[in-house]
Amino acid sequence: MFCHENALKPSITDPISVDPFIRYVLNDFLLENELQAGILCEWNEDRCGIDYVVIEGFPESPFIGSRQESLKHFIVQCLECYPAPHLHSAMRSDLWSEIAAVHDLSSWQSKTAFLPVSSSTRNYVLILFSESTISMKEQLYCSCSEVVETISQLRDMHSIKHKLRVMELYVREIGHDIASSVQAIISKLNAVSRGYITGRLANEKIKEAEEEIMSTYRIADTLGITVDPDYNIGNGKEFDAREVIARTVSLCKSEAEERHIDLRTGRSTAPIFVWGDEKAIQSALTQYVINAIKYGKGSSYINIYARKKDKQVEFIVQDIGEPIEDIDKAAMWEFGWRGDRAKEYHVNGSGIGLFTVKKIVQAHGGICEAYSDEENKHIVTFSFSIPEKDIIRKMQLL
Amino acid sequence: MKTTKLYSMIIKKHKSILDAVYNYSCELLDHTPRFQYFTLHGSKHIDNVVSNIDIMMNAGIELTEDQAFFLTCSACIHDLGMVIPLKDYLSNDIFQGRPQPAEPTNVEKLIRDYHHELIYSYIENKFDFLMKLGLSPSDCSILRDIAKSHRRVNLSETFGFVRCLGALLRLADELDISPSRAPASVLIDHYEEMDSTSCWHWLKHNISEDWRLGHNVIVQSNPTKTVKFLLAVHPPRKSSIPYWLTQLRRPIARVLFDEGVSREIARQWNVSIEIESSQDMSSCVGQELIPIEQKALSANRKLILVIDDESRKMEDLFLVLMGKYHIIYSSNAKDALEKLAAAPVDLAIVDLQIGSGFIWSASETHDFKLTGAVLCKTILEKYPKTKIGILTGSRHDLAEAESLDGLAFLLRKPINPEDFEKEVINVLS
Repeated sequence: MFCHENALKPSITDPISVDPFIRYVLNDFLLENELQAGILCEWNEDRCGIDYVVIEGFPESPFIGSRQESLKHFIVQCLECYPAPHLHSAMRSDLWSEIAAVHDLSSWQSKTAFLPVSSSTRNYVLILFSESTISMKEQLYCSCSEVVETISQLRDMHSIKHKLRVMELYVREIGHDIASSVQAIISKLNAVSRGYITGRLANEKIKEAEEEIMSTYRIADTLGITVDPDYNIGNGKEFDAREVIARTVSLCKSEAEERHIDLRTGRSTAPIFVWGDEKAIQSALTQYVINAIKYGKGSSYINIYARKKDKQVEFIVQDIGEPIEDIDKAAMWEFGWRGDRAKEYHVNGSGIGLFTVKKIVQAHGGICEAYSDEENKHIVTFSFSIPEKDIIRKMQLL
Repeated sequence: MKTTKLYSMIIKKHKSILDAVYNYSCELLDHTPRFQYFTLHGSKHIDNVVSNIDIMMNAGIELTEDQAFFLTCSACIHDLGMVIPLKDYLSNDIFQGRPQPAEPTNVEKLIRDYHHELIYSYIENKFDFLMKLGLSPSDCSILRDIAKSHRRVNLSETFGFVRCLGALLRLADELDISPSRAPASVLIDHYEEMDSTSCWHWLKHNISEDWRLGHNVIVQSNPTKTVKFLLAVHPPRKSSIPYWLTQLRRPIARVLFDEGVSREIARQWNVSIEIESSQDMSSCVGQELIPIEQKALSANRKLILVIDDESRKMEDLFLVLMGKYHIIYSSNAKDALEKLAAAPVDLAIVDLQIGSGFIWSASETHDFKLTGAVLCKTILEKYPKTKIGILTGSRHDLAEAESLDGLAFLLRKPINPEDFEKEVINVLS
């Protein structure tokens, strides 16, 4: 819905300037309203300089550089003075001069109007150029709502396209990971079969190859959960959290050794029984541990343990790594999100791991958390808690 | 040791114990043959470790007399596990199932990995001797645990003296990269018969600068007390300075930050310890060391640099090639470029999806999917003699990589190891 509060709160979006469809919509709108030109700006202060504008009647190139910043700054100021929805009267000479600084508009009629438009998650500013702006006020209001509606539809399309892009990336990354794993497997087996490694060491190599195969299987298994829109607990049963931890450590051991990271467990000697999809919970825990190995500091350690807490069982993975930024805390669970540091520390990824963990945990009626230690920000904890007992099934029965 | 501030603050009764332990340790370490080209772990090393502790004391770490005594004694015995007889250890523990019990490298590896734990043997065997000196059983136990903590032990699981003095000892030990541990005369006379690993370690010590307070150890008091160690190296070639600085800094930084030594020292003494590389203080000297550096970095064989963020997974693929070529690994572009600047790499085998090491941005590398291609371009420009092969598991568009002129090969994982070996041998023949 269109509301001025939203219009004044920029949101993070991808650039839409190259989207031919929105260009078409805007062009249609301009023709219908006999407007000379319009600029649809997608608004995002956090990424100032990256997002830019759809331009009709202007040259193809977007507004870039310091002049664009000046224009943006000006429009933000105007929005603060005249909260949306607001059709600004024509002849705003100061706006016009800002526009003129960006492009030579000497042949244009100097009559302008601009109004903010907003859909539920995105904010735009529509700047219109007309010879008869004042007489068109009503029409502009009306047409503007059409644009908002169209933009809303575009947003949905954009969201689907984004998901498909992320999924494609994910599948490619899985292809990469599996190719690397298969390379490692055949190299180990080849070294043994050609007799370059013999005796007990050969047995160790074969065991490593088996572990690599299991690791590959785990990747494919997680993919199933990630892509299944109707995922819920399929095989709920009571299991011992300590056994899940032990299997996870076994699975992740070789990757941890590669970075000289010590996987530490064993805080509880008594069983910690919990109800849920054991395989999925192990997959979620493994994802946490793999992330800790990838992004934690080399030659350090990772604590992995479970504990009972207020009728919940909490699984905890704690490592020494980069502090979690507040800005990342909410976003990191979203589909396809990858922080800049994540890209640099581990290039092979698609931003789906934590999303899948959240999906599994939510299906169990649980919650996920991530935080840095208050005293030492480098001690990073990822945890999830799920109900100790089978409350999900009981709720379904009710 | 006796000229240090640390020694001077120890009371007479403790001094006599310390002197006896010091003399015993020095004799044992200096006069027990072990591995031919280990860097020196005897009296010289003990003196250096004590000297490093002394520097930290002069920089503001305040020890009590008890702490000074236990720390200095521990410094004397911390490496005695290197010379403990191994007759009581099962061959499986030593050789880890490898079918070559006569192979000394297995024993060497065991000792390198476990000598801190073998301190127990020394304490058990010399218990009567230590008691006669005047140490109580609990003193012996503290000494043993501090000495053991000089490596690997998780400090956060230790307590009291062991935790804080173990941290200090570990740092002082790691900081001993002094040339005196690897005499230049021995290196120059014997490098040809040394294996390349020993040669590398001896050269590393030879080109490092000793620590001197006020010169490369800087103390700052504002806002909190900070002791900054500035690493400086003097290798024979200017281009290898960044490589050596990285190699020297890495283990010290690991001890300080990954193993929690910095945190322990800050907690106990409210002093912050930092380690930095100083290009400005580094210089190239000693042209006579060029062939030694060559051997240390390439083992005087053709050199293959494998740049892959999952290098461990790649090691088995290179098993056969290791017999013929010297193979080194980098996990990101920055590290690879440092190694390329330092050593004459004959063949660089590059994965496309690697980290840049913060030298390139996401936009420069197609969101890091083609960092390897950017690296290949850089190598082609800067090191035209180095041949380049791409071995990648990437499932992204490889058009940019394919269009590079001058590639020796572009292969996709998985590849048959025998085919890969033939390809490499063919390129390097």
